[in-house]
Amino acid sequence: MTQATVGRRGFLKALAAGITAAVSLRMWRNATASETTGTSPHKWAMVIDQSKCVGCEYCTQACRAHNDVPPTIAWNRVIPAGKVGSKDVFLPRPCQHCEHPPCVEVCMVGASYRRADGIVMMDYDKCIGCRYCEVACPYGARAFNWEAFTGPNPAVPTWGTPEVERRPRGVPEKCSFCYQRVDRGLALGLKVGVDPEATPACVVACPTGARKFGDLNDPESEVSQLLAKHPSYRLREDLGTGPRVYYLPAHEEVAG
Amino acid sequence: MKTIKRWGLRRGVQLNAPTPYQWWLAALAAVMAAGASAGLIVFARGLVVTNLTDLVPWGLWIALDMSSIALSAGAFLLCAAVYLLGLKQFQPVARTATFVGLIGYSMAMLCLVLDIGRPDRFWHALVYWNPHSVLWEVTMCITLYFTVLALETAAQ
Repeated sequence: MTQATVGRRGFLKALAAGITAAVSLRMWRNATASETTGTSPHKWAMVIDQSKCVGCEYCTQACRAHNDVPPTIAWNRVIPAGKVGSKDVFLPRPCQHCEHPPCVEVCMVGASYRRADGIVMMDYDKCIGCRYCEVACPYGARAFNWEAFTGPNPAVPTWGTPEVERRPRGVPEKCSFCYQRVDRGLALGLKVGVDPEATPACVVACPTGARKFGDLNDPESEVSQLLAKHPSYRLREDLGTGPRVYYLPAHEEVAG
Repeated sequence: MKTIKRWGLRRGVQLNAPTPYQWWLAALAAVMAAGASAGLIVFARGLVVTNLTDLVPWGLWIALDMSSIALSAGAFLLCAAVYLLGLKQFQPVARTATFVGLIGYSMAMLCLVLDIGRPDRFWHALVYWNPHSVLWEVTMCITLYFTVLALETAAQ
């Protein structure tokens, strides 16, 4: 037996030093990992007019068809929100695509991330399914795939196919502002929010025109115009999440 | 004269009756077998068997994880007090503490692997980093403490 030249204490010390160095290096390189990287000329936002919403849930179904969302999950829930006067009021709730998204802050592997144009995305191949994002989201926008979704999707009509891949068992999923339609529309030179092919499916499907989508950086866009002319509110603004979904409140109908 | 009670299995083969300690070990083994099979069911059928919902995405078994971390953190600190700070008066319990810490942290890691939706991707936490996430920090700590305790146990 030969005498070890490095004792246990020395080995542990070297190990600790090495780990500290590696951690510091990665921390330094990843200091901005959960912050938005890059720049974009766009600032996507959705405006939902509660005085026009009739609670038909066409948005929910169109979303299911385009994004292959299972029947047990709704990326865009329509929540009854009481009455104004004699009229029922509804609160359609997609992902709020926060400017400071708690889900992105807490995601331990960076599977939730925020694009420069404001869309909060999910990398379903990176996600480990810890559901921390679901716990963190104040809007309940995320739903977990507790089971594998197999078989045909009842929401998908026979003449069409979903635009995105179905999510596997064990990852949470949420609304993506139909990024695939926005990106493809931009690539084809279409106007997002105006051309239906370049607009989120829920906005296109809404029969009363209660939902609008567009670029807040463009003062001429419909969303910018609506927000300039009407009072609006966002959900839980006190939390500082900075949602990109604006609501125009329902009001009492005035005769004449 | 004391007679030893014996259990006859077959003609010619006789065993001593189990002592209370052996009964206790058998009971523990039964609990472990139940836990292992429940774990396998979760792996095979997914987290749907836990009856968790999107309103309550984290179940009570997180408490198990936290308890084992609390147990082993104390043990780990005791280890550090003896081996790093040189508090020799705790030397008699240092080895036991190391082992208890190792058991605790491996239990916590097992719990976490069972609790995530994609156990096949547990290594992502070590490769893709988000230092903003508290859970990431917890995972790194558990992994590093486990590594240190495993080395320490192996060295003893």
